[in-house]
Amino acid sequence: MVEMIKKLICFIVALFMLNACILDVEVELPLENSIVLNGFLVPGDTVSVSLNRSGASTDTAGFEEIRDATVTLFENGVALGLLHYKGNGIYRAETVAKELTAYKIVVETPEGEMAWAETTTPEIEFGASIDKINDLYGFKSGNYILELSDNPNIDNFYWVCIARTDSVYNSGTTKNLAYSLYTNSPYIDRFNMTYDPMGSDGYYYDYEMFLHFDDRSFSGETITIDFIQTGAWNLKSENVLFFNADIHYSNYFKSKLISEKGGEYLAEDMPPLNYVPSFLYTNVHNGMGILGSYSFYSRVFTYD
Amino acid sequence: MFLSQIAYSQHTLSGKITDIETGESLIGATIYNPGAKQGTSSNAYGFYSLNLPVGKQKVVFSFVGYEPQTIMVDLKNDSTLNIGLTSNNVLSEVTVTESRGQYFLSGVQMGENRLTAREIENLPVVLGETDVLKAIQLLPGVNAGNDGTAGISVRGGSPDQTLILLDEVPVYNVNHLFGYFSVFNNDAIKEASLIKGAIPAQYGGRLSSVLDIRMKEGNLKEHTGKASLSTLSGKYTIEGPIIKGKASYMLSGRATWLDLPLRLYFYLTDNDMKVYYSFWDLNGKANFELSNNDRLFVSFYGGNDEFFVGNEGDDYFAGNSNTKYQFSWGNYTASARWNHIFSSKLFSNLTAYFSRYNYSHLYEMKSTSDTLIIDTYSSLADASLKYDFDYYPDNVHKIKFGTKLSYLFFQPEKTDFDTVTAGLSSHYQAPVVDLYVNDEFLLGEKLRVSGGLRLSSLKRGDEFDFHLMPRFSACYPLSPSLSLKAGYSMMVQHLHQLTNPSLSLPTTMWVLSNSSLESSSSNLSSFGLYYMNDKGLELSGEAYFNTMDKVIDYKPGKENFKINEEQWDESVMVGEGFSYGIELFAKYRFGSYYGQLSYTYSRSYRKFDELAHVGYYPYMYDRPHNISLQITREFENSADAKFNKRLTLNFNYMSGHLISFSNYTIPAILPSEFEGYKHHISDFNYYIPHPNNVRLPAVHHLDLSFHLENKTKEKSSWVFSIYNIYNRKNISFYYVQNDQIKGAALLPIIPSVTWNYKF
Repeated sequence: MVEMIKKLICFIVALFMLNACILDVEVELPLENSIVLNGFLVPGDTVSVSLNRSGASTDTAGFEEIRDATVTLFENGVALGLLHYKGNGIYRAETVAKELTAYKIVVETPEGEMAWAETTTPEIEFGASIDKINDLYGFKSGNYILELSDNPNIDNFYWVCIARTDSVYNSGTTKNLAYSLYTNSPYIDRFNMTYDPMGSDGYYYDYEMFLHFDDRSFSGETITIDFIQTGAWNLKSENVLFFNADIHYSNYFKSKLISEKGGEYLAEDMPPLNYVPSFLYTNVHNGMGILGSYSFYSRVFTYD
Repeated sequence: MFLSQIAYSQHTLSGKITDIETGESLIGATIYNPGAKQGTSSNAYGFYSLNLPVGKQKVVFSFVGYEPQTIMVDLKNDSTLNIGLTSNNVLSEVTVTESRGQYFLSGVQMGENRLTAREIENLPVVLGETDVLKAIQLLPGVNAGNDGTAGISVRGGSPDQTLILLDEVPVYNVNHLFGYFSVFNNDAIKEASLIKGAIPAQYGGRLSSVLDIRMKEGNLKEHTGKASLSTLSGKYTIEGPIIKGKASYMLSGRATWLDLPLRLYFYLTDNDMKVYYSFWDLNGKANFELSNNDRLFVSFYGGNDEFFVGNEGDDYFAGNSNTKYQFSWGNYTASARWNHIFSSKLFSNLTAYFSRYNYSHLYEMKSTSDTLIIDTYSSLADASLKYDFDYYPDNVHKIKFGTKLSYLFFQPEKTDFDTVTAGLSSHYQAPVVDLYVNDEFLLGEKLRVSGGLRLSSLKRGDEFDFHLMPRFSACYPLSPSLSLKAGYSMMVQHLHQLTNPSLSLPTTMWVLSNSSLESSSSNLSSFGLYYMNDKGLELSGEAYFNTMDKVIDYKPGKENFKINEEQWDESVMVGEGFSYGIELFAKYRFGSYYGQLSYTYSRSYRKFDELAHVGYYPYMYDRPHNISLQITREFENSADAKFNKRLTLNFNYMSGHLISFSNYTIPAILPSEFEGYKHHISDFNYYIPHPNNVRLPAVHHLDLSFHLENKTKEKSSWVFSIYNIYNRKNISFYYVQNDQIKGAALLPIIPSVTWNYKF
């Protein structure tokens, strides 16, 4: 009798649970086969971009290259000439990008599609220096001091990361971008920050891979930012990379990192119900992708 | 001289209009003098004031659903006349939206809909639970949030842009059962009024609309009660006189028994895991007539939801943990109001209230040697004092003025660990001061105008922000059966709710404008045409356009990765928006049939600097099409029949919910300096052209309810309902798995029965 009652109750509960019916939702979302223009211009380097077509979400192995487009480069509004196809979707100009110069790239395909994007290159020398005040100890790489004298006439967007080389027993070296940077600096954009209540060496704000900040709060001033990276096992060297980017690079990169974080959720078997995908920045008109520019300063610290 | 002659030859007739059986005040009852062709309506406390010529005058008192009463008064000086009207129990009161007769044509307020508790009861319901917010969702211009939930979006605005008042106290969370039912117990409600266009100056604090819900006052004449049992919950209401005719009380409680089968199941199956869900609410009110000119009201509301998942093991280090997760939220409100009639021309209401909303997630993991407790919570409290006046200097002007002083406290979401407290600061507070004046008057013989100003000031940082908000509406009768109305209101909102667009949980956090975040503002313009013939056909069409500035939303990605509370304002972006639409409405009675049909076309857009490349994009509450149809048939009953029988059909169609989703990818680019270094950045990107780029399938359902209403007072009645007759799988929430959108259809065909017993 008790078993019967249990079964009856289980049946009623199961019936109630069945109310929660999960179904596949088919939505009308045409697959766009758009032009994807990607390129970062670096003052002093030749101008180069890539052209591809967007693909299905399951088709991430390779993207269709656009081989027969006419790609025109404009410098401060004046046409400089064409970029030539070099294979693998890459188009390259003979021209070297200059600093503080506006560039526009216009893409025309034989099918009549036209896409374009613009960027203004930053200055090559941007008043940056990096030093270290402590030696390697424990798992810490020591305290880095970054000094920056801002140019008040230009809106600057900065990114800092550490490319590190570790020695691995019996297998040479590994190279990674340092995953965790700690700082208490008030200038840093907190989009990729987590608060660490325990702290690390007196630092409580943990930034994933990058320190990103802009000069809005210290325009024309000289500032310093101190930070450490953690997890410094078997360090051989650290290359501190300090990028000075234009707004398009910065917006794109930030939106990509946020989007990547969401991708970690999506990779789970059962993503959280409150997950909301985020949006990738683009400055390409009639297409997708990014045309940005940056200059950079770096300094290598080695450990024997 | 002419004016002084009018003043000299007129006296004021004032008083209160009540239900003769219960003594309840009747809000919006009409008082009309056919001789002078002058009239007015009763205010929120049943008070009226009308200037009449000296001598014998015929005055007609009427209210929809009540027998009109005509009184001959011989006016020799200012007089008081309290009137009790008798309910006529005819079908006209069984409507979803009723227009208060002539008020529909000549009332200056536009975009207003009123519902009585009885009208709400008439609608088909889910799981037998009558719900005022679900009835409101059927009105033109109103959309539901997710399918089946009680959240409302008015004219494309977010739910937090509707000011929801219960007995003049703001209620900050209206959700029971994860939003599937509202916290408002219909047995405790007298009526609800939704204003969505040209909001008068006495209201403020939200951008798009006002929902003013009034609790029953309590029967002054006799003790009565009502017990209700539905599939979901039980309700019990009692009311009656404390001192007959002078003071009364009303007490109504509700609790779910949803957790009983769950508790029984886990008990019988001896399962280590336990899952419970419970909610309750309690409404209470008392009113005391202190003198002919003074009345005191005391009311309170309390309610709470609790969801519990526990697993009783021994030791989490041994993989057999003793864990529990508890998720609870609730509202508490209390108010005291003092009505005072200074003179036949001046009525006042002083209100002191307190409203608090809080939620918490408590996660506890115990082992034999250790306990880990993580407690996340948030709260908002509002303590206010307001003083409102109604002044009737003559029959031309009807002036409202008043002030409100509020102190708002809020605690953004905060997480405490058992040993370490995250975050540095915890509470935020700010005073808000409001002043308003509104005059409704006749301009010439036909044009009725309402104009007002509201001043609102919030302390942000060390300084006060001042916002002056003009309000205006006008009504011009083009013919006896056709009128034209237009209105404009500027609104300001200091409090904002941060909502996750994927799943509208009751844990959406309220935040207050501060030194870095300005208050939102809106400019709402609307106009409409109204037609009513003598056969009872009502037609209306309203168009609106609303622009919004400084609206907020989560920054991209911040919905998923919240940081500690000291930076809550860094998680939001500030932008602008606009919405527009048209609302068409028809209502008709034919014999024993009564029906109404509404269609709304509305669009809503947002733009944020953080998404500048996107420009304006559709807001998550952009749902272009909404059709709502209700048909009721009242059956002919023989004189000796035990029950009145009534059948109601409801059909509702809404465009689907918007979500953000990508089904294609593009190659990514990284600086060449990263080459050769491992990192966690992929070489492709999912690409979403703009937020809310995909519309889920439309939501529609057909519902039926059959009422067996006992003719005698002290007998039981039954309501049989079927929700979603054709079992449409409407999506309540969604998630993405393996590039496929998965939808959860929580409300298939659901039959239910409700038993009511009145005594």
